[in-house]
Amino acid sequence: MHAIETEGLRRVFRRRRRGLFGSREDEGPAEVVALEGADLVVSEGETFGLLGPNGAGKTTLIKILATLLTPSTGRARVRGFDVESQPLEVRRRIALVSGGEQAGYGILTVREQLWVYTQFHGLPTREVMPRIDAALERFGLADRARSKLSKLSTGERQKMNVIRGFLLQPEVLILDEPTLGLDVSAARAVRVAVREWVREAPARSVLLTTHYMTEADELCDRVAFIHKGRLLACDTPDALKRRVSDRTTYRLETDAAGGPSGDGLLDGIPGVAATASTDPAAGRTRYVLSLADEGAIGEVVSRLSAGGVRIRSLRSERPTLEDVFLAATGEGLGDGA
Amino acid sequence: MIGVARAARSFRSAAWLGWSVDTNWADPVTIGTLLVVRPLAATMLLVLIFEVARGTGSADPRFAHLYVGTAFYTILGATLHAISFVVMDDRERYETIRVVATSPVPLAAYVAGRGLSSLVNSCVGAGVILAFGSLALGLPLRPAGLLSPLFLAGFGLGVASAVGLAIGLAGVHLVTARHHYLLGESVAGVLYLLSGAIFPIEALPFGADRLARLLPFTYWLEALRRPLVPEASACSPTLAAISDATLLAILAVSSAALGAGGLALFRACERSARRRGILDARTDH
Repeated sequence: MHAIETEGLRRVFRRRRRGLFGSREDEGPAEVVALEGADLVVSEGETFGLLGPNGAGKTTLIKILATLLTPSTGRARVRGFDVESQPLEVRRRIALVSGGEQAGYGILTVREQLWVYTQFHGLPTREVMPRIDAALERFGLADRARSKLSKLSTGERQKMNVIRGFLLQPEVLILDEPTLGLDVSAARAVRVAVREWVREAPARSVLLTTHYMTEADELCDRVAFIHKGRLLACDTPDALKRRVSDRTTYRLETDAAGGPSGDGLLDGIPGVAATASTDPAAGRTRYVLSLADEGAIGEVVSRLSAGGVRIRSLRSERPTLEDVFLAATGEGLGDGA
Repeated sequence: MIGVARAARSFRSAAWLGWSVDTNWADPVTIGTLLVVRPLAATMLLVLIFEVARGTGSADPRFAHLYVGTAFYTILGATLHAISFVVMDDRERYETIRVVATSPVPLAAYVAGRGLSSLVNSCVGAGVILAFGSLALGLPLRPAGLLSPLFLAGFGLGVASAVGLAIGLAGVHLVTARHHYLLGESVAGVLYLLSGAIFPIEALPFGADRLARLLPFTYWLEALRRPLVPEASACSPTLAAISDATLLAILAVSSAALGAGGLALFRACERSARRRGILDARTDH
């Protein structure tokens, strides 16, 4: 069974025109297509990333899957249940956590607030209280367990809402920019928690939207790009990056090797194209190597060593998911409306 | 059975949440004092107006009519405002409606549970008003009437219809912006006039008495007044002519209709809000 499945999902927002003489809402197009024929499958046990700029349609898709919004046409199913005709079954199986979310009652303590959320899902108090304490410990909020929400920092409130997502023990966890605004260690804790949570039970799945490409790269089994309401490329991060370039680039710095191409030391290595530039003042030669086969880097290093050239640094440069998005759309991830 | 147990758990936690939120700003003594003082002060204002206008004192059955009607009306007013306002509160202020709306708890049940504490508080307030009227103002109250089948059944039905109407208004809030937050109080204000809380329905102008006859709250107040202060019942010949059994039957039918209508309205508005994607949309204008 698929965790999530959408077929030809389309969502159009129509502007409402009111009043005898129209209104300021008349400005702009009469309708906006937020999602255009999205076909998507997220498998059981998969962590799936949805990447795209602001206004691309990510949140629209997530709201449909979370039953907060109905599609104009098309179908969406979560764990086999239709979001329109079986919303209650869908809600029993999901948890939605949005980045920057400040939801909560200031008067309640962190522990009380989390308990209330679990009650909406009908979870027994005896079972959830130890889980709440363990989750607070894991996210570094144990000492704030009895603090009122109104006393928490923005980041702490967000962490609490991420904890909510895990506590509800959903089959499908929907994370909409979960690390937005979190500090480095908190964001790392979230990523670790997501990985461990998925690993704990084979049926658990995650749908993640994020602006952080490294986060998607690190967490997701597959990612899809969404742009202007359309789902574009969808594959594993590595496969997507190979689409941009099937060659690997290395940057290598050595002590000055004499000539502009290292005195021809690297000539003739199969599948390796090298360019070099020497900076006499710094006494360094910098190579840019384009390798058809990543294994050829061994031969490069051997030749340089054999030629008595001392290697100062070596690093590979791979295409990023942002490069993939750029290649697919001609726009950067930050260029969206 | 598991579903019912889960729903009951959700309702209980929503009620606890409502109590926590309602009492978040003060200690229990202050809240208790306010529970007594606020409804009492409002009622005293009316008593004063009556005294000045009529000068006939608490022996006048019209005084008892007004006093008892106003005491119980506070329950209606508080229920309509508290339950309907939950939507605004959770959407605009606490931003939790998204969490509730994506959980399996029925939104209408949650809203009713969240407003429960205000309903209970207002019942306490009504009791205080009546006790004060009896002890301090000489209201000819018959305490035994509190245990009469007419009072008990009528009270339950009336509260159920108030909750039903409030849920309907909460539904309207799901599809309206926050500047409509006074909807519950506005409707309650109209009902104050139309349900015969102050005036006998025969005194209503422009055929409004016909509208009053359609409202369960008119029969509700009569079902509460009759066992407690039978003399007050005579102020409205129309209602006085109805037997206890018929009164309860009318109240039951009209309450069921209002309750079902309120729930249907809520569901229609919830569907509309989900269709338009505005269920969790804060209105910043």
